[in-house]
Amino acid sequence: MRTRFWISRLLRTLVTICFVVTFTFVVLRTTGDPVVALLSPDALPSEIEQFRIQWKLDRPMIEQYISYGANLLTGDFGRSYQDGRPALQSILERLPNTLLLGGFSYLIAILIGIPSGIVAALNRGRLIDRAVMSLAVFGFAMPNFFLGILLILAFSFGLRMLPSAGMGTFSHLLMPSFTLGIYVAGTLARFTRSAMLEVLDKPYMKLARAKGAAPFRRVFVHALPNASIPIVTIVGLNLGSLVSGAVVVETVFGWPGIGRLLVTAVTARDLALVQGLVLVMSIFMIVSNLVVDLAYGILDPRIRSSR
Amino acid sequence: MLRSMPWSIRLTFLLLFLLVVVALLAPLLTPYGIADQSLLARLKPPMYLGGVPDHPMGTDRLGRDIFSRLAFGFKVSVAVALLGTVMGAVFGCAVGFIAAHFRGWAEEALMMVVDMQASLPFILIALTLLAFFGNSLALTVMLMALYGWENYARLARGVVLSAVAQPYAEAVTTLGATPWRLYFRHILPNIMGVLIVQVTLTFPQIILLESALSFLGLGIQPPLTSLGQIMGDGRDYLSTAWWISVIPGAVIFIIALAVSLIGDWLRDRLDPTLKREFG
Repeated sequence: MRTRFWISRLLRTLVTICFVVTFTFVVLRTTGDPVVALLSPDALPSEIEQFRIQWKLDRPMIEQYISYGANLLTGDFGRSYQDGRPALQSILERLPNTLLLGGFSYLIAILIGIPSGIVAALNRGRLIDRAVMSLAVFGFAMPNFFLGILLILAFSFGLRMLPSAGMGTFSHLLMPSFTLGIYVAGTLARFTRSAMLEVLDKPYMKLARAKGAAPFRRVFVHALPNASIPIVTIVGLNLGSLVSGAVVVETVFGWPGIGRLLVTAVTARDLALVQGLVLVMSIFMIVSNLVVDLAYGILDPRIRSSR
Repeated sequence: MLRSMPWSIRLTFLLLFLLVVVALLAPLLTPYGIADQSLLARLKPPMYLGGVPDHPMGTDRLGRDIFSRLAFGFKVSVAVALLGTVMGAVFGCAVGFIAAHFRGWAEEALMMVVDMQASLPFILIALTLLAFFGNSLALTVMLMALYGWENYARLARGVVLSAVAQPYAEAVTTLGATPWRLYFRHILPNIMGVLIVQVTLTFPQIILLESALSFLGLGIQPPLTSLGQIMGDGRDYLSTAWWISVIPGAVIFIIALAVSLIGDWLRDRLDPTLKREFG
């Protein structure tokens, strides 16, 4: 049963990736000649000819589709028309910056979101619970570009403590990752709270109390591990909001990552770069969803045996 | 329903109502058009912050009146978001009905598309379409409609599947109603409540999406304007004229917060089985 679950999950991942590839292929084909889209405008006639052969543009659609997929598999996403470099190269250059920003944002989100969710659940109905949950709603409705601008006004122009744009030092990292992390933190706090509330009522919590376990031990050894499944789900599902957030936040703070690269590529209609970025970001998303699913099995033995 | 409405929700409704009234009355309150420039009154701060009563919310780099632009941008943002929300709801429900009606491979295929869209961040889809098809007002509205349709499709399909098994559906069918009459005249009214909740929860997200795209310069284009676009316009003047960005940002935040609060409240009211997640 277990292997069947893993195999079906892997297959679904592959189908989703195929869907994304098909999406970009269809969009690319409905908007005109891929040669114009994927080669730089000063490409030589011989280069164009070679491109037509390599991408099988003179062949029937189905063959074109297959060779399109094959070219993508070898990492050939076409060339950026702005600088003529392979799209993949530009993307890989910027990717570490986004991973740094995303990783640090997630750290902030987890460090703020989970503890405040636990505190809210333990003080259910009290003032602190209401305060945490109101803040979570605020974080949910606050557009990240607005929060970013307010932070820049406060800390760069007002207090003159942090740089407003660019990257390089640790202080450059603080505002963008806080802006990006706070939205996820709000969602995490809400779900941690409800997951904890569910667990805190369980009989084994009463038992733990009856046998004299300290409050700290009851929360972290008895309650939290049992509440971890929904929390991990939310951590995983929010990778998507992190990706979309990065597009906006990187632009606001001039962070040289792939999110900002995507915005400039879309503005300049640099189609090869857009196509490459969308594929890389979607595949990253899809694969991390897979990892989250697989993490359940490790976290919860019940899921492992029931499947 | 009105009597049991908590004061916070009443206040929220009042706030939204005031925003709409001010936006609608704005052309009567100020003599400026959204494109009227005044080079002598550039980057003027709002009233009480060193500005003049002529421009209660200050002016931008071309001396355009922020209040007039804000009121216009508010109408554009809300209109685009409303249109997108309604189109998305209608399209999503239709897809859900079709999937539930035909079952089999059509259902499989449609639900697969639904799952795919749900698994990708929408901004990636939006940016791809914008890059390949080029920016236009029609595409912007289309994108707003494309956001969230998958939720309605799931909802509508699920409801139809459970409703056709119920006696009232059987009775109507026996009386000779066509399936489409059954869906639209009998099942749709029954799910109106859930649908309205979904609409109220999607609307703020669409407002935020349009604002983000316009802020990045990829949504509503000049000479038209929207809240996000005014914000993006003021981004280069943060150090000298913060009000250009901050005032529209605050308005976006207020709309999103107000409509989300109403949506949460409606959900709790219409679905008593749902535990309050926060309070």
